[in-house]
Amino acid sequence: MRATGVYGDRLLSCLLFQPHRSETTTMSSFTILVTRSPFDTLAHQQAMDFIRAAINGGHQVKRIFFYTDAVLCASANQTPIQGQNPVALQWQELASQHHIPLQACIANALRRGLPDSTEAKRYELTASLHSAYQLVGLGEMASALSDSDRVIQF
Amino acid sequence: MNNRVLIILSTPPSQDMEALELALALAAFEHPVTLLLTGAGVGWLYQQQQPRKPNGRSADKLMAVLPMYDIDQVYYADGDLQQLMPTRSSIHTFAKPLNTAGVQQLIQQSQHCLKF
Repeated sequence: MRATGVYGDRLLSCLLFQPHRSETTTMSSFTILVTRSPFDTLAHQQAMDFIRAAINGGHQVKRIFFYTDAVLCASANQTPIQGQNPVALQWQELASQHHIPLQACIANALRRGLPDSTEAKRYELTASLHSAYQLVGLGEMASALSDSDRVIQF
Repeated sequence: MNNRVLIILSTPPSQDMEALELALALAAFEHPVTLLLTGAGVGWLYQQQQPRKPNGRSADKLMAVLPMYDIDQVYYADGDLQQLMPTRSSIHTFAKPLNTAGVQQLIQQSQHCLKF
């Protein structure tokens, strides 16, 4: 397992800090909402760092939901320069290791040209969504707000 | 702490208004949603806006349907409005002003807080 970065540990500590309680915090469940593009900020790397810290700390990450330009990370056709892993693959490795679903908003993904095989067939396109990702509706995000202690946005 | 979802819009309306789509969807799934407009996000309150792209929807028409989704708590940071727009008569009347202390209280009272 990759070592947790300082960012993830510090963010987790801040989120779970409860000044009115003396005992240590119990396990929390998180949904990770990613809304920033993977290409112009460190948001995706910071989200991965936070997830590693949360899991190392004994917490649960229920789902990772990609919205707006964050869905661009789910493209199966990324070709970064030699020696670098596509962000789609980085997410896949983290998610499969810890059995976390990778969910992309279906409307946002289709707007940005990322149909899965089902949608590609429907619209007569070529599928370009990475196989590790699911296209889901916003009902999943509504469920996340109900069944997670915290929704952390990057 | 109540179960409210606070959605903070701090950027102006985008072409596809996906932030507001999320608010409407969460409300449709019966989450109590509160909107807070800060900074350039108070631009969502302008009445009579043009669509941001050909054949697109205008932000003010989408804002006008909020009460139909039971999103009746819409606030804006009063100081930000004063900096960006000259009058309150040009904005949707269902939005209410909040001072800095009110904004802080609103955030503290919300279980989930999402920002766009």
